[in-house]
Amino acid sequence: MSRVRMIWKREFLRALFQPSYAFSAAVFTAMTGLNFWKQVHDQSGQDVTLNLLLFGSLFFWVLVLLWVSVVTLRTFPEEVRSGTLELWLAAPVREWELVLGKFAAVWLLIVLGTLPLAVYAPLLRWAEAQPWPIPWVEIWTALAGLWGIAGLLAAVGMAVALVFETPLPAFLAVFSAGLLLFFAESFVPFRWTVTPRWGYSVMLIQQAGDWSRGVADTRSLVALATGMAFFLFLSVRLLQLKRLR
Amino acid sequence: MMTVVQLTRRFGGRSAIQDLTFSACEGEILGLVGPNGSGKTTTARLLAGVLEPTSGHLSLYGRSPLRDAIEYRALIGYLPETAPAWGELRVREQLMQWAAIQGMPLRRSLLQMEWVLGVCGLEPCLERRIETLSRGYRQRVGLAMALLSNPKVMILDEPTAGLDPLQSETIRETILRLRQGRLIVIATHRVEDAEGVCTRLLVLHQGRLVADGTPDELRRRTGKTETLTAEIRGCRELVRERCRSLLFVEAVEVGGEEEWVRVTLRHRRGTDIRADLFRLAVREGWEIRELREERPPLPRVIASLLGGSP
Repeated sequence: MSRVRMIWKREFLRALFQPSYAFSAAVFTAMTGLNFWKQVHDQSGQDVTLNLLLFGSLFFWVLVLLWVSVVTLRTFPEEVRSGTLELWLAAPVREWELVLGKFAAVWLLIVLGTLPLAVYAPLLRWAEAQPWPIPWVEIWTALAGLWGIAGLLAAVGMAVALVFETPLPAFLAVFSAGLLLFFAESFVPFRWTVTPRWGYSVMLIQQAGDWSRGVADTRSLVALATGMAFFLFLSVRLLQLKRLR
Repeated sequence: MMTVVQLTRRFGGRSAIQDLTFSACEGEILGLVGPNGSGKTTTARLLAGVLEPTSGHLSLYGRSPLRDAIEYRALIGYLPETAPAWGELRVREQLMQWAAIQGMPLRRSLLQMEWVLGVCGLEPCLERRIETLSRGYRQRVGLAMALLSNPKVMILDEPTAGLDPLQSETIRETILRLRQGRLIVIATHRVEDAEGVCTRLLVLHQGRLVADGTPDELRRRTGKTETLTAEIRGCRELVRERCRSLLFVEAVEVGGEEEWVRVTLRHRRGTDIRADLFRLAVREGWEIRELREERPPLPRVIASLLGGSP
């Protein structure tokens, strides 16, 4: 595990001080902030919880998907483009160590970039100058859900990105795969959405809705963890396949 | 130490390498030469463990890249064709991080880094970002990365590609310095680069090994005769006549100034007539001011081995 820790630390620090990460995180924060402000403005006077204003809109989740796709591109397509993937393949590092190290770095970058979302509620209270209780438990639950969903999207992104060798097609593929996961509901028979059993596991949009309300569903936790494990395993196999291609 | 037996690598239906067999020991500088598309880079990648062979066997000190992948790769320092590096990092950061990836403790990393910086001449640009370095310095960074773990085997793919003659010479000198105690494999299409550096050449053509030997052995395999040129002070006709009588000499050409005769002797391949010529000169009372073997240039030898004009 020491190699995983080393790769994780290296990739995290390398990306953290890159202008591209700072820029994309700033754009994400600004866009989500604007979205929050718009939701507050549009739905003022209605009986809507703060959490739904913050995490409940479809636009917010599309922003998450876009940003995760951008951050995931740092994993493999850029390495292929610059030729450094060959260095990794020749290094005394196992494929799973590389995948896990890079995934942990990407996930932590996403967590770091979404932390400003926790500041919006206190900011709103300060702007309104009215004392009202901030629903911290719901906010942190929603953030935890967001990190879980973003983790799954990042794992999917890594697997998809390994198939493509240039950043732009990889970005489009990662974004499309994420959209597919989010809107899988639209592609499955109607009855599943009415009586969701295992179908719930693949419907990210439903999970996102629950987390946004501050509801932690164990089915979602299991689904996200299983999905992440599956796509990370797939990434390892795809990386091994590069030695055969 | 390095054993390669019937190594084959296919991409789809096309064989990039077919039945490659050779072995090599430490102290050797092995040159993989051949035209573009002959399989040099594929061979280098197979040896470095980047690619897996379709069939055949490959081992380093008894380690297989398939069974003992980590131990195998730990024995190797690899410089890929374009000397890739993480451009946004400084040279020091790159080397320290690469040492950590190799699993080296910090203390050893620092010592090794100091050593490779000296060997590769990187001290002046230690704090510079790699993307701001010239092609030659980036190549040196790649070489330093390959050397960092003090590997027993170094595989260098086109180490002088894109460099000016001065930079190429610096890289060649560095490679020669590194020879002690390790096996170095160089894949290059610039045969002139291999000459003077490589102790042994593997000539590849369309994925097959067509010749294996030292540069001199390969020279001897091409052409039926070798050429010796001398400048002798003596009577032109007498020099021609006496030299023609030497054993193994097949043809004699004379020219040059009035006093100093320039004589070119074509003798049978694999024979050495220099001692006989000296004895003849002593006997006849001639003075010799120059004596040299005319060796055909290596590129021409390789072209000849590949079926081109000698």
